[in-house]
Amino acid sequence: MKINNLFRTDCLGAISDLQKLFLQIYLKRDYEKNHYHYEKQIHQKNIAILRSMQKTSNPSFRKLHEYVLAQGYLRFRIKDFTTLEIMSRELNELLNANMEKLDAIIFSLEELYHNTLQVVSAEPLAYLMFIQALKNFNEEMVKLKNG
Amino acid sequence: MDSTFLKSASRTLIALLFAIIVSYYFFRSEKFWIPLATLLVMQTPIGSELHHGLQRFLVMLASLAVGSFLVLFVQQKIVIDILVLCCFLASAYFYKDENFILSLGFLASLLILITVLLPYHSLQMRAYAVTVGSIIGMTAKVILFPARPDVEFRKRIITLLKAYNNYLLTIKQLLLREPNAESQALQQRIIVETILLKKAPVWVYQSGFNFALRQGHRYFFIMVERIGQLLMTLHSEARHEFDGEVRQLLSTPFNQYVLHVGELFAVIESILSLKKETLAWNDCAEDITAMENAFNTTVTPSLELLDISKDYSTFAALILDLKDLRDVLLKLLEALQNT
Repeated sequence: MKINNLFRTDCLGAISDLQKLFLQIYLKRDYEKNHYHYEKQIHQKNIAILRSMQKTSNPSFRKLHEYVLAQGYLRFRIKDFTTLEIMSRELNELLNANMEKLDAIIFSLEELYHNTLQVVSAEPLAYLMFIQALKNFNEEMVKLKNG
Repeated sequence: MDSTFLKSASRTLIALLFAIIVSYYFFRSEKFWIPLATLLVMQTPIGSELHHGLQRFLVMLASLAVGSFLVLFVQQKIVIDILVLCCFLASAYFYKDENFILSLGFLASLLILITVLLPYHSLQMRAYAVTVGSIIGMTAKVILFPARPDVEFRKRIITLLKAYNNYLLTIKQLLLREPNAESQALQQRIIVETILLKKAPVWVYQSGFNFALRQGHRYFFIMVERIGQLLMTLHSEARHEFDGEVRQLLSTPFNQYVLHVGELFAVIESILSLKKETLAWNDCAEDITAMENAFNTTVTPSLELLDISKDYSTFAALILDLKDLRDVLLKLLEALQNT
């Protein structure tokens, strides 16, 4: 066993790292240009999650991982990344949010979806699935928090 | 035990033996450094042996110089020992295989620690010993049972694809609520995770990876990883308690889809195994259409109302994931047919 693995077994931290990376990709909107670079990072963060999951039997972590992966699918489901600019405020809030604020941000994203994204985006379903994945993630986090 | 491991172990043993003989006869005062340098330059990823070997050699030389400087010019030896030990522990704590800077930092601090702790003779002799050891290591890596990145890549991808196909079969069982499906799906997922951790050809991302293969292998591996990610979210959707009517409507097209995806996996594996036979395959378009029709008959056509029921949104996510999985497999097939 590597020395660092003895100290760092934080599964939630690894999942949060991957989620942050996806949000950064959406905020920077340069995935198409740097996709090898980003995919390498996604791979590394995924591996960190898989490693940390080997040390826990809690099924919630696998579910959280699945919901975060689903949040990452926007990167290959949408063709026009400039549409992401519309939700940059919400994405920024998500990036810096704590658990308490997540509900409000999801609500704000839903509003944005119904009022704007649904009309201007060529792939509205992809955004809807992103919001759904966020909701699922939030629900699972609440369950985990409440034991 | 696979052949790759045996080849690698034999190569390392032969090189090490040769390094020990050379150090015994020619570098008696610094006999420790030749085998150490040989071992360190041989721990490089597949496809970038020379590039990474050379980097490690340069780091070793730099570390020797820093270590020697500390020994010669800092008076309190205990201070150096504690300082270098702290650096070593910190780099060991942050060490990550995949992080180039951190792994080299770890190597450097380890070598400085050894330089400081071992009795000091001559920097020049140590530098000679490290150079000779590195030459032995890099030569052995290139000449003795050289690793073939393309063959190794194909072998590992086939292992992954087989595990993916088995995983999809258990996801199907879970969606259709067959007995023991949940535990089987979890078991299969753990197998996929283990293969991703231990057998995935992650070295395609390394800087210095074989220039001719780099772009194609990276593209292929990204797509293969995407399949794994899609299967994991399909697993979560299959776990959802769908309405009985929805499950009934999905049953036939989903069974057909899994069957056809199995065929696509088989064709890709066959091409990767360099088999001459041509297998029949179906592009799953009809299965997807059948599932979309099932969706349209149960769900209101307005996307606006999707958030009324989690059943519907999960159904939509399932179809979207199945579509993406099909697209990725077809892209892989296209890439293979074009090469």
